[in-house]
Amino acid sequence: MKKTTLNLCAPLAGALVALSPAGALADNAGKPKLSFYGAPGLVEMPTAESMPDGQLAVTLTHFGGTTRNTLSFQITDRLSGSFRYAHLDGFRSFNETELYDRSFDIAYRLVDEGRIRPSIAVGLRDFAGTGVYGSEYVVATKSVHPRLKVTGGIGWGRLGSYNGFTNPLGAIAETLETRPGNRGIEDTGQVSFEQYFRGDAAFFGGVEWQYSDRLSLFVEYSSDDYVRETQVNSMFVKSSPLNFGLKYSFKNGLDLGGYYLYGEEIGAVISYSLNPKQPPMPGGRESAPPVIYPRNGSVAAASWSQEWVTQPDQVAQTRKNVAAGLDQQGVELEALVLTGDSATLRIRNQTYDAAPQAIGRTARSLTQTLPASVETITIIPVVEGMRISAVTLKRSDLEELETQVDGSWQSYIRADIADASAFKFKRSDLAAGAYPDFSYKFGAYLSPSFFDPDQPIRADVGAELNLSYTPAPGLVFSTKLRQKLAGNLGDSARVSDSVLPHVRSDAALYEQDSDFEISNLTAEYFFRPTKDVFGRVTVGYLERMFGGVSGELLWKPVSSRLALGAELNYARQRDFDIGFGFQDYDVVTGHASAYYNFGNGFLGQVDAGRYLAGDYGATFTLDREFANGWRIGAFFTLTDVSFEEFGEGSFDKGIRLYAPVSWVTGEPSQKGFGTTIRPLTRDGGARLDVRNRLYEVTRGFQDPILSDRWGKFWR
Amino acid sequence: MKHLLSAALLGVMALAGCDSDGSQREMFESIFKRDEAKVDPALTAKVQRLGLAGQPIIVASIEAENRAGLLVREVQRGRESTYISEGGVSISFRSGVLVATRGMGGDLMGADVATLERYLRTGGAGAASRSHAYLDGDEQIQKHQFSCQVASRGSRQIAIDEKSYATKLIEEKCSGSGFAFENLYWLDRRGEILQSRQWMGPALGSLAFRKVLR
Repeated sequence: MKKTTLNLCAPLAGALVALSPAGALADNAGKPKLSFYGAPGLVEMPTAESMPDGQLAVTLTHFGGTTRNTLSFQITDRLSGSFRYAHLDGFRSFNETELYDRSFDIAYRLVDEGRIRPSIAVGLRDFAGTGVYGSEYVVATKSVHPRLKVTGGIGWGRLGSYNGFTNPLGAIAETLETRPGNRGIEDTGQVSFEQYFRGDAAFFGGVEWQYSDRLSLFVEYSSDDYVRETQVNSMFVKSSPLNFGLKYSFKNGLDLGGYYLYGEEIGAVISYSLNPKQPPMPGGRESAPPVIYPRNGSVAAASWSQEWVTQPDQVAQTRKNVAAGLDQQGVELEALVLTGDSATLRIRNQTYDAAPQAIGRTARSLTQTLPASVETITIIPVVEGMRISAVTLKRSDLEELETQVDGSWQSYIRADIADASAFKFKRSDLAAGAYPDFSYKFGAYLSPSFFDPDQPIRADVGAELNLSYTPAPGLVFSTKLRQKLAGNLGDSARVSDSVLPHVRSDAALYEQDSDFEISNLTAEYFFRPTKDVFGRVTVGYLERMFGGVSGELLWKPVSSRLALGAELNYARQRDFDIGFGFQDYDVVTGHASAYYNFGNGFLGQVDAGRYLAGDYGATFTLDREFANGWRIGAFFTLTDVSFEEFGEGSFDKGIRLYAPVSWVTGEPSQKGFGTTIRPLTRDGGARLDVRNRLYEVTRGFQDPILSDRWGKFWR
Repeated sequence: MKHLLSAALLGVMALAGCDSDGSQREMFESIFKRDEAKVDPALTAKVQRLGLAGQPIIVASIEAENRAGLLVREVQRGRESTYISEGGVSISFRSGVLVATRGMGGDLMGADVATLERYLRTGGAGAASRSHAYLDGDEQIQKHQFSCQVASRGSRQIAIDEKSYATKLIEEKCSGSGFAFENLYWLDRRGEILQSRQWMGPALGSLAFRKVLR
């Protein structure tokens, strides 16, 4: 996971807190503390508290041979989710004397705390894993004093294992009194509906006493008997249900805790939390934008002469000035069409992650370079040669709104945002030097791999060269070449036991056989077939494991929350050396996709079709996307491959994270840290990893993202 | 090279004698200039050009941080003027009242100060409201509303460049949106603001401005 981001933020966040009296990071009082499970809780037991909306927390804990690494996310104000990777040393499992365990938790706050009533939450631990931590609970928490919180709850499964009693839910249905046994490893990853809230139940509880704003003390009574750790195995000795702890919260988001557990064990917790809504530098710290220049004094626009447009040298000079002005802002002019009172431009945004900022700076720069008679400015951002949208602004609106308190909203509603396919350009409109375009990037890469039981973290490092040549708008020849320099990705001795075609599970063979690799080598063509529609054709070595042909069409009206796409590919598996050769396996794969922006930062996506192993099914993805670019989501894929054929994990699923560099630095940047975490990668439900899928390419310069990020227009 | 303006203006400053606490040199360097490595030579040249062409100059300081620096006017558009610094900061005033900053961090994105503007122009006093816009951490505009009381504190003699100026001191006390601040404006006989202290926002607090008279 992206520890780099997290570590970087810490000092900056500290600096900010010092600056900002309103800095919410400083507000530790009442903030829920994270338990050994990395979610709001006491020591091991959950509480009914929630983290602040959007909060992201990484927690590392250790005691009694158990190490847990948890990533938690407050998905909405009430709903939270966690992903955990645990190591149980001395836990016998399938001929091993240790166990690596992945688990997902989910919790929902049902009731908010009132003057008398407590807050109440319900939660499922390990609801889709191997069941080691499988448990459910209902818990209530009440602040009885500004510094004292009391928690009590009832748990099932693991949380009903100490001093348990017959399930009170048995009154509803007697079958709830017995909990079906744990299943074998081949069943792991299935959602265990038939276990929820079944079997014996037990009470748990405890208190948190906030000694100071920074230091909290905990005492709890645990209803977890650690049967499998202490009775089936002997990882540690348990002599008491009581746990004690203290936790210190630093200003920068770091928490450290020391604990005494189950009468015998010493434990430690370290956690780091941050909130995507609270960057170290709200509003950014990039240089001031161009200032809007007055036109010639206070003469009315109509009286300005438009004669200049008939004089070729004047037009040429204007083009030159416009291009130079945009260049200063990190925006490249692709084309410019001038009439006496209007200017229509195609631009490439090479600098800003917030599209409205590129548009806003372009517009302001134009007030310094365009003749006074030009009143209408149409800015057409171009990505991969495609005109994504056409934003038309009135110069007099810009002049009026530059420093108005409602300037952001007013400028958005006065802007006309339209489909750009109707704006055609002639070759002679293109700016000098716009095409052909050649670019290269040379740098280092780090390629990690997680969760191999033999070695939970592996990584390769090496050098990477990206080359790209664009002879004409939309046509891109590009390649990524990598030379491995060091690493241990190839050390994996795991041999795929998959009964499906080995479309992904031979990853280790690719690592072993490759040294210098052609990660991709493609010709791409991007085009606008008609209004609201975007197209892409990609031919070549599409990704590390497959080459072939890929075609895609996307329907995305400029202001629509809904987008629909269709993709069809012919893919052939590449040789393990990731060179020019191919293996025998080939497949026709493709998906129909629907994307929907629900608003409030939630994005849904469904892709239905045929996957690489020839299986048919659908992938469901839900992302929470912050306007500033942070994105946290989860996905799962169900196909006609049975859970048994799929193997361990039962079906493909995972979480993905993206953090923009600009969030950390406060400077505009189009870079970010992104990662997809899959507990397991197998062959069922595997999708071709073709680059530049159209939805991601186009949506930044369309609504609703334009409106979400319009605050940056005047920045 | 990048200190050319500084050098050129140092003379002006010496004459103007502003804030003669002996750290003028430091002032130039620390001012509103974030990162030496990031100084943009084109911007430096522009600021120098404007300064040498006789555009008005102000000294601005961040009260809480003891940082100060020079800004030169780039544009006067109607009642609005925008000043820029070598460090990539711009500050905009409407009739001398702070209405926007850019590049400082926690910027004031825009402001409505219409009532105050009228009071300053007509010599009126009484209740006034003002509103400010800021970008929050998720790039959304947050509007803060303030209720203010504007009153005259009477005549004040202030010294700029060892010359004495007769001014009228106006105070503006505001509170709202969880903040309270007090702005001060020293107006000369023609009603122009010679110096002022104005609250920019939660991130950096109050800024002090003074005209460089040459």
